[in-house]
Amino acid sequence: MSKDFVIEDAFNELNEIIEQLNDPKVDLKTSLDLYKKGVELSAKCDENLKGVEKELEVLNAE
Amino acid sequence: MTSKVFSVEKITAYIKNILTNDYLLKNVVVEGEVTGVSKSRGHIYFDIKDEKATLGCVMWASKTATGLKFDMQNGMKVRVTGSIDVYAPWGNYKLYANTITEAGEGDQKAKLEKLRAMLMAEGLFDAKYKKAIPEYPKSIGIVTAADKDAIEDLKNNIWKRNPYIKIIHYPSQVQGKYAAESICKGIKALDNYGVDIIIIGRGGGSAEDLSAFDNEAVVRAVFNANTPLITATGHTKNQTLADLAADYAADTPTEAAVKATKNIFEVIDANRLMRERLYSSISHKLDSYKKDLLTLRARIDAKSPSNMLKHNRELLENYKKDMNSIINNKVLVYSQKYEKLSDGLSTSMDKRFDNYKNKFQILVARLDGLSPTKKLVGGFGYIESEHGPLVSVDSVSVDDGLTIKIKDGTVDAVVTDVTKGDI
Repeated sequence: MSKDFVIEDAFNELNEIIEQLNDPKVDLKTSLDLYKKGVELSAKCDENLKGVEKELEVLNAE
Repeated sequence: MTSKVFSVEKITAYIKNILTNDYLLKNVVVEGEVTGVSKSRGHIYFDIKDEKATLGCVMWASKTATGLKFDMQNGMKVRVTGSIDVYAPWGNYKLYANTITEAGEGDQKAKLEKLRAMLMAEGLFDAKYKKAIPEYPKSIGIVTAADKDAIEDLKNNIWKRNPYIKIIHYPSQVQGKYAAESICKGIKALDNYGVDIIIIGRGGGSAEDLSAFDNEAVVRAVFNANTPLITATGHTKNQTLADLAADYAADTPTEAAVKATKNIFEVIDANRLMRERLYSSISHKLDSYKKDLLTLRARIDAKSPSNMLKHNRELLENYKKDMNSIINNKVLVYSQKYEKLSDGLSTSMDKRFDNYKNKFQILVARLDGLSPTKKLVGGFGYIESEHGPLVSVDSVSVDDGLTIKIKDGTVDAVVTDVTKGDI
């Protein structure tokens, strides 16, 4: 997972993609590319949000 | 030489006068250890002492509300501010207290205020240096007491909202002589570890000593941490200097956990919604294209040669049908008319015929009545020459043949003589 991935940015981008998809002026090829990109981005968000559950590490205080 | 003799009263008044007029004794601060505290009708009687002396003190009930803010016990070191006066009936002097404070408290306060002012001047509390707390941390470091209760509350609250966060606990001392050093070490260790957020909590105990959080080294460690840091010391009334230097000061450990984590389940849900919106947008778009395509195909089909031919053929068929129907109708109309006419004609002809027939029969009857043959009775006959009926003697000559018809036959005769004149 990329350390640089910022979920807020991904959400903003997803919103923009949806907005463009809803624009009737955007052509079909661009729309299909946008859709593919959106689905990939959303999958990346899920992957980024989830991880190992309830992991606890106790550091040595010395 | 005889000395002047005073009465006890006089000399006491004299002493009292000296003491109460002394500028220093009018408003004096005396520090000592409390002993012999007794209370009577709201007044507090006590002594303060040190190794070499004891001073009687009293605080009237009217002063206690504003002048004494702690529960004074024997053995406490206090500072009493008031004035010295003499109580003549008992022949003693006392310090009449206006305020009593714990010794050293003022020093500590002044020191703390000085430190606060210095750190503030340095900018340690400036909002511009405060780092934003990330909404989606992958790991959170916690500096708090080693006992289970202290970490449990934070841990549960964090994992309730986001179980995918890794928690790194640095068990530290939060009270006592080594607390400040321990907290500083914890901040550094977690900063080096590379967690996304550091939370500093207090111990799980009761009303605890928060002095470690006012320690200059701790405040500087909090400020200098590269990781966004939240304090959760849990004292809202008196914020510690560490609270002021932190990127975020939470009132309770629960609030710290909420601040450090977004509810991940809401976010995952939001992401799912986003995917649904994506799908619905592209489906809508594809549908619209499909519709356009169908319309276009229909328009193209309409212009295709085979369709044109079909169309023309249909037109022709329709014309044919129309024409047939028109002609059939006409024929029907005419034939109906004809029938009607012919019916009328034949009826009128028949009538006429009958009429003529009747007339004829009448005529025939009349004719029959007039028939010459009917007259050829009694010797009368009908004479014809070759020119027709013989009506004059001028039309015959001698030797002309004549035919004489009588009632029952014909007689051929020859003219032998012709005589004109009456018979």
